[in-house]
Amino acid sequence: MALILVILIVAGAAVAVTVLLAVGQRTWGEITARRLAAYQGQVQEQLTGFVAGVRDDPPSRPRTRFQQRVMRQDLVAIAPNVKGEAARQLAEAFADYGLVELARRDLDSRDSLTRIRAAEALGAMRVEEAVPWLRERLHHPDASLQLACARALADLRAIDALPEITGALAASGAESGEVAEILLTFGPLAVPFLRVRAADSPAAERRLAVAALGEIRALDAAPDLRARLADPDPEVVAGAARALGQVGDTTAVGPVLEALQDPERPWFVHVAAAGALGELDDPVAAPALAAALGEDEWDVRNAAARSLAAMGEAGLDAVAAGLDDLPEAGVAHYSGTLDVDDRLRPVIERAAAGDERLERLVRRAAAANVTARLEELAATRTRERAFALELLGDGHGAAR
Amino acid sequence: MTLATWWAGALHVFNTAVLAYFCLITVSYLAVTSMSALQVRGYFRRRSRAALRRTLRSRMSPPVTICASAYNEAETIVDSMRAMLTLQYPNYEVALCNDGSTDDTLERLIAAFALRRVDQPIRPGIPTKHVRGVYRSRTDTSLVVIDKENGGRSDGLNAAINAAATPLICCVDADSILEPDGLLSAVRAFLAARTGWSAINGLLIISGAFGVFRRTRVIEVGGFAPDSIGEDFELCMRLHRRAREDRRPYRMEFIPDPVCWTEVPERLTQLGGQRNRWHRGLIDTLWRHRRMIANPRYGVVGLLALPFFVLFEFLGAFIETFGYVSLAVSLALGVVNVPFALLFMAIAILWACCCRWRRCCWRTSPSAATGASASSSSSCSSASPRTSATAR
Repeated sequence: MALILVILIVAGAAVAVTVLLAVGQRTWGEITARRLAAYQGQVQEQLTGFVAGVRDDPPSRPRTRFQQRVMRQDLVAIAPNVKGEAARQLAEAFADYGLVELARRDLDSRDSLTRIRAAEALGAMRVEEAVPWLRERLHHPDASLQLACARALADLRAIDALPEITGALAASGAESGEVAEILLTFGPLAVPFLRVRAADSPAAERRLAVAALGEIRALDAAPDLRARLADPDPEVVAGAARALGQVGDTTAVGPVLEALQDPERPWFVHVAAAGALGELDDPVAAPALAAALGEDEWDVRNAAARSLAAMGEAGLDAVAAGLDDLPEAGVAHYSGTLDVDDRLRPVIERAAAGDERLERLVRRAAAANVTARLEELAATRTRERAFALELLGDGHGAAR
Repeated sequence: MTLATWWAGALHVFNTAVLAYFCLITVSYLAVTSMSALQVRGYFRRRSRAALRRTLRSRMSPPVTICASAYNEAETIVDSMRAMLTLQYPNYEVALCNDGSTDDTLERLIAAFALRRVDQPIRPGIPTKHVRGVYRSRTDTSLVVIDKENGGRSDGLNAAINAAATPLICCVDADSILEPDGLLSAVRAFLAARTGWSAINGLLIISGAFGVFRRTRVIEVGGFAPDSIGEDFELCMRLHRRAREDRRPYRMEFIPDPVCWTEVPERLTQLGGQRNRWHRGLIDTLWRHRRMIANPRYGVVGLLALPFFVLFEFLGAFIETFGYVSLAVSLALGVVNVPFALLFMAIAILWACCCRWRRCCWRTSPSAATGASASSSSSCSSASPRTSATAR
């Protein structure tokens, strides 16, 4: 019984301590929040006025460590939206307020988040002298700090550090998306590095390299991308095809067409190739895209239909010419895609006006239940009404 | 042995079993919450606002289709859609299924978004009830509305998934309001991300109110099951099952910062109905996938997550109810073991205090704290914030 009494007393004491802790925490939280809100409001107002040119002087110098950190946070938040002279003035203010030194000290803080914020600030404020400090911390045991330093080095466009960055991130197991973001921040500066990576690295890195080259629109890397169309990894081939479309390499139409027509390639390569041909917008590719409308895989038909629709008249000609070989699903897919883009009605109008090729296409589309525009025309008083009624009268779409 | 001795012995065994169960459940929850706390801490340290902004500008961010199903939601549907169409994300569409509404949900959508019926090609991926028509907006080209016969929320979501042509799909409730950067934060998990059960890839539920999936994987397992009560839980189980059976690497992640606001029950009867439905959903799903429970073939899901759900989530409700009834009966019969009852209560109080202390001592990151205050400062009384989870 004595033991139970002791336990109950301990439990009672625990409740009392808990209540005190909760009240203390809340009070301290409110005091801090008010202090932060008061200073932050003042800083933000001054900063916004300064950046907008309303005030000539930069915000007043922060006096305490707390104020320095708040100022740094606000400067970092505003920096990406500021360009030119205002950006230079902000960077000067950052240095004048002693924030570079503070960030350098914070890089060695015991608290992980303080270290990360410091690295982010040095990158956002374009502090060139921080490059060696950041490179040194690429090998820090804290993976989050490594990542923050890599991002900061990318913000600083420290291209010499790129191999070291990718090596450190690979060693720490960073996600490919995180690495991609860093590569994209470097932009065209990273192209030589990526060209080497695309040609000679493990498959995962080759995939990343070709995707980044496409995203950067690196036209001078087009030969490397064309060479990747023969890569043993089909995902690299698909990525290379997409990238060639993005960079707009018109000499790649032939190799990409081969990738589309190669039955040995998996369906996702055909999807990427069909999409790329649409972006390259070369009428030479239209017949092959029209033939791809006959593929069994829905996504391939969809990519081909979108590309043909984007090609306009060349796409229409190719589909009309290959109509006899196309299955109903292919015709429905193409005409449905035209309809979504609001381009089917002009085709019907031309068919009604006597264009025999298009009339065959519209009849095939109606037979495949693509009837929404016909129904729309049938309800109008236009001269196409009779044509629409005739097609609908076949029984197609009557159920609607 | 007299009846009294037998009764006292049985009571002792029962007491010990209940205490053991209580300790086990407590330790399990402690382990899961500790794991979650560590993961959330790591997540907020790796997250970068600047990187988020870059994703927003980058074409490398994967296209997403937000899929939702609406049934008789004429009052709120236009506002919900407007909110969904103004999210911060570079490349996304909204596929809304009007699931055979009997009110004027479709008519309001047609009027608000200048919808016109089109013959958009729809993937014949997941079987659904008959689709009556597909509509595209003249004013918001990223909105597609699928009008179909009524088949329930799962069937409606499946129709929306079929209409999606993007690699990722984000399934939400039609009355959910996503925070402007909610989708962006959720999708970043597919580029970079890891929390609780998701740290060990044992996450069993992706909230039906806000979850992002890889479309091909959802179609591959047949989409949401229309005959399931807890369709979100059931879909996740099938995704786990398929990936584990195919020995394919996969991940299901919980992302703590994207926020979505959703309607919550305002009355006790509604709350009771919701809890009832959720528990029946849990039982239904556990029964459908009973083969996975304690089966080493399904790794951490079969050996850890599912037994946890059976022991504590499923049985917990029954054991708790039984506890209240047995306490009342014991009190009535005068056979309550007072020292044991006091001991039990003291342990429970100490445990609750420990949890509170841990919260006091836990230092959250400034960004996490900001997110929390933003959520709690909302005056929307009938809504609750949900964070998102993703499957890749």
